[in-house]
Amino acid sequence: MTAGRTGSFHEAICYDSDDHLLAVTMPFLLGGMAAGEPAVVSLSRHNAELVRAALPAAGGVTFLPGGAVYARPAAAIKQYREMLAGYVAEGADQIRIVGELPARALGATWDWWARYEAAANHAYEGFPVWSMCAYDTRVTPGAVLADVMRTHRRTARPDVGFAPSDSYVLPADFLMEPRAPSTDPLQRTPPHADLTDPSGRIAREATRAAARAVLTAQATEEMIMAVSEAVVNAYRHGRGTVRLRVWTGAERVVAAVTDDGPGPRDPFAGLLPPRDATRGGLGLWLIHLFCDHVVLDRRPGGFTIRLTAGNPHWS
Amino acid sequence: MSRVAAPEHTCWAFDDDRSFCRYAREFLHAGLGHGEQVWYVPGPRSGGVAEWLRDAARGREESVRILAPEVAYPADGFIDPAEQITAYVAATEAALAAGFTGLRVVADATTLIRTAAHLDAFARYEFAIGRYMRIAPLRALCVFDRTTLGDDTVAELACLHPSTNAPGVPFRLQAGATARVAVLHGELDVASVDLFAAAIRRADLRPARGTVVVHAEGLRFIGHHCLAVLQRYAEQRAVTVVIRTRLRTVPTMVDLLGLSRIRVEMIA
Repeated sequence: MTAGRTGSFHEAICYDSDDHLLAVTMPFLLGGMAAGEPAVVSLSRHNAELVRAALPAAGGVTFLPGGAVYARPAAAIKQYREMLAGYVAEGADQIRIVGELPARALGATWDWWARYEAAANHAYEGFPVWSMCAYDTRVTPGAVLADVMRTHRRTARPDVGFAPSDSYVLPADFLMEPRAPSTDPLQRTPPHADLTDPSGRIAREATRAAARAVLTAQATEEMIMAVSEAVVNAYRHGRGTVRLRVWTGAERVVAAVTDDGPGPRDPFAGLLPPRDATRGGLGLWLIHLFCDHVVLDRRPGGFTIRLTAGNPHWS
Repeated sequence: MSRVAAPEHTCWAFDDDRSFCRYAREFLHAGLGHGEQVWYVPGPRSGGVAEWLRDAARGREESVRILAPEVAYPADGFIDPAEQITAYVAATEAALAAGFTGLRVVADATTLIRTAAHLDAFARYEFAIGRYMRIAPLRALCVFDRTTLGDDTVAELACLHPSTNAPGVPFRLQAGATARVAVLHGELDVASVDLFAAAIRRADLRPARGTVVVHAEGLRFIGHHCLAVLQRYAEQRAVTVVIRTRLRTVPTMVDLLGLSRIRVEMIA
């Protein structure tokens, strides 16, 4: 199951016990070590210790703290790409990764991690990386597991090898689907600001005023940048009226920028830096790097980008 | 004492000559009150101050000079920045030598802005003389008729002054203490790209050890589009731009976007 496989693979592990996880990850990592391939593990603390204890003492596997890697999808892709480029530069023919999102990523912010999982099929093309994404079926919501099956071609299982996913969807199709993101409870409260066709300066002032008492100075600056870019994008790439609403909560600031257009045409926009920045896309990528949660809400009547700065885990 | 506030190099754009006259009188009155020599260079629609000024200076006529534009500036309208600065340095020193505390000028330069080349030359001059005005007792109200020049041209001139009454000018780029340094205030988003590119080009900063410096401590916002303007400027001039700022997003963007010719110095 694990030897002699080269190329770019992105697969899932849906485990329901420690033994299940080890039964899949151990052959995978040991096979990589035997082949002299770099291996990287980014799991929860419990699972990382489990795997570490089961591995030979000689090591050869790099452990990354999962929470740090998986803080923001665009940042995770950037970090992994840089890491993979480094391994390739050092002569690696194949690299193996076992990753696991923090449990909190499976809640209110899952939609952007679902986009990450879809984009991962494309983002690491060109790198000889074999990655396996672990999900604990005992705690992962059913809707999340459904997205996992739609964003991974195959699932690794103990002893029987890989099972193909019947519901796999091509990444670009998955990413362009109208999604039904959950409404942040703050959006049911009166907004701090509700502006129609605001200038960039007015949008930034509204954000600054909303964020001042809630966010750190750095987070405030980053949110101002993100809102400014979202408003610019709405004018440049959207259609019709541009509406900005900003809500302030105890731990977060939420902004929604709406226009009448269909949203970004590039399915991977925001998660990956644009290949040709002169055609746009840089602003949306920066938004994804600066915000703690970004929702792209495509609906028949228009497009809304919702930005959160601060603690986005309200559920 | 004058009610005119501290600004010493102001761009005044007018379409209503009455508001211009009110402000110019305050500005000139303050100069006379401070013992400065005052010069007034009226334009076609800004001559309403001359009679008042003569009355205000009665008994001390040497305090006032009212000059026709063709006397104060080259007849073809083409300003040579260095020559014009030399002329104002000489005039300021002459005023001091004559016992005045300085020189204060109200000059309507509208008729000098005839073509894009005239605008470019005058804008370069406006930036460059700012360096002398930082240290010398020369104060100026640079007057432009918005009905003749239009908002875009006025913005190109106004953004090179420390202060302006022109609405919608998002940033100011003014001369620093040396030819290597510019001072940047305000907000720079995508709407400012062309204006900022023209302004930094006209600043014509002179590198020392391969670097020029932008003091952006007063900058409230800069987006990636305008950082890219700085990067292109630096590439074209084969320099490194050192930007001093409080904005924490700046070093992050410079790093993310690989803007190799921009070096960020964070100010606490």
